[in-house]
Amino acid sequence: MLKMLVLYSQALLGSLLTMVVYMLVLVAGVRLTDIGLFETYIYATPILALALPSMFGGGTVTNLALGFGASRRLCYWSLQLASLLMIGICLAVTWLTFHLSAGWMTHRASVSWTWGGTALLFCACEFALQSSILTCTMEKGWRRSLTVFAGWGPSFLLVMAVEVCLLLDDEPLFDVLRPLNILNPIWMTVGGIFLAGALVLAIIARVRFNKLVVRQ
Amino acid sequence: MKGVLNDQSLIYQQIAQMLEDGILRGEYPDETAVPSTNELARAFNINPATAAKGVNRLVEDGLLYKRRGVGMFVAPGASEALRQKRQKLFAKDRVRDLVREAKRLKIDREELLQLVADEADKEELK
Amino acid sequence: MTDQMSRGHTLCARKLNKSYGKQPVLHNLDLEIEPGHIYGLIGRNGAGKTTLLSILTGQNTKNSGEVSYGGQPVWDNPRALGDICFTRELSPSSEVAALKAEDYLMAARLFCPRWDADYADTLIRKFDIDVKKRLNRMSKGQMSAVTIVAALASRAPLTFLDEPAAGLDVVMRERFYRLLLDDYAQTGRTFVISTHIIEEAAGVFERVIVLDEGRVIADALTEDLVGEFRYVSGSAAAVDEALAAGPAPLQTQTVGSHKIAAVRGDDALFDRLAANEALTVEGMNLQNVFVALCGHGDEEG
Repeated sequence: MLKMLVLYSQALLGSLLTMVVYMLVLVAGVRLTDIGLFETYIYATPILALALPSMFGGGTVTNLALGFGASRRLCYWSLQLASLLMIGICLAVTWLTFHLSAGWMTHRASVSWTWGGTALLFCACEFALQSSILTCTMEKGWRRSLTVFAGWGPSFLLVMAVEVCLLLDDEPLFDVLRPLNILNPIWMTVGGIFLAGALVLAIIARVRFNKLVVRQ
Repeated sequence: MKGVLNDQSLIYQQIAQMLEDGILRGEYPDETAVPSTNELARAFNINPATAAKGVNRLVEDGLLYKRRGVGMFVAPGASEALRQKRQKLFAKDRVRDLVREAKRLKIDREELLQLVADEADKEELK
Repeated sequence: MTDQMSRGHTLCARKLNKSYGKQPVLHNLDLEIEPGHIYGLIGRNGAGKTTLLSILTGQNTKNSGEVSYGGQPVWDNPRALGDICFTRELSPSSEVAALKAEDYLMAARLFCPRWDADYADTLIRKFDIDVKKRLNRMSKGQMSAVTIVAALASRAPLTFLDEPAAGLDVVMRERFYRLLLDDYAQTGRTFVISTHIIEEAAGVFERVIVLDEGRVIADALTEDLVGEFRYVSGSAAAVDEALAAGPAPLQTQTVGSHKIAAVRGDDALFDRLAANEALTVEGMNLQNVFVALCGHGDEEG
């Protein structure tokens, strides 16, 4: 298990570092300067956090490991674990970005990106991620690209919806969607649907992993 | 270099032949060691099992014996035994081909015998 | 010194069937790979060599039949797979080829329990491999060399190599055979090597498996198999007459009125044929035998 984690983590390291650097730059920027651009980009952080799980390309590593005798079960669960860690780090970075910039941001909405927002971001990321994991069992081609998009698309919409709610907190139209909290029935349902979708994808991936053939 | 081996007979037979020739020519006198299986395999880039088969043929014929932990040695009298074995095969292996070739070239019996006698004189065959 | 433990168990395939869609590739195939020998797996393109090897090593699925190692099924069985190493021919377009050589070898190191790092380093030097280079940026020979390093340094009791010599020039091939034989002499591990380059490697293979159209048509000691074949030549009339009663030739070639026939039989038959003045009986090498067996009775001339 550890070996697989090592391999998968290596594949992730680059993107994770990017994210951390991104955060440091933005936080420093918003605290130390008056340039409004940094604040704008801070709001984009959840989108970046979503992008990483969507693009997780574990297929080659899986193929290689299987080629040298790793068990399929081991690969699948290592993949799940490694990617869960990745999501955890993405979420933590996002949370930190907002938290550390809170006092310096012009828009008060930034303060409300707490547990509610993070929980929803988790649901979105998981859905996109399970879709990516599923693509590890697929060969390069339009089906694979379609699967990636089908995972990223809805998740992106969810994140955008959350962002819009945050930013337009004066707009009475969106009152029904507040508080932006996982305990709000509307958001709970939405989050639940995404998690259910993620579970389905995870099961499909597991079944496909069981029959996975090492590709040339 | 494997180039020394040919297509005409099996590799193990060629190894056996090579060792036999060596014994006959006196390169491996009685009680001396012949190359080990591994050395032979290495020399010709062949599988050690194949080399071993060649060596074993000589062992079965009583021409070599194994000194445990040391290697394969030429049995006493091997050279003589080999000579007798090859003498028996001489007619079938060499003489037949010679006679057939003579037939093809329309050399008659007397001529052939004369040629053999002349050649024997040249080579000082007693 | 051969370590008994490192020699491994017998790999058994029973009634293997495999089709890609409607296209059958392997037919009711039975095979046993016994420990401690070097096997050559030869067959034409499309005979099913790579498919067979990938199924034997648990990397590909089968339609029916079973593959077991030491009595246990091979599929997804880490204990069995820990004893088995399979290196394929890498093509520049394969996804694995996008990796650097050192990443490829690191995966090998992680998953081969008996990986010998010193041996790997020695081999890397011998083949002059730049491990920092991406595989698809290397020459074909270098890519082959990387897979060879992985296969040899794995020290797996049962090691399969698919076309390891394909990209190598003749000098490198000789070097490879030499390394393989040295390793074998030292460890007695089992090797199964599939190749197109038959005659060169014939001396290396103690046993040979001939795969033709998804079936094993020969599985024997190389020298036993080759010993069953001769070229019988002479005038067409003489050859035809001699073989009229005997076995039908597998292949014939006629040039003018001269005929050469590839014949399979035993020593008694060949002695009898050799006694016939009108005929010349000569040995065949493994490549000739292979062509005779798998050429399907091509008649030339």
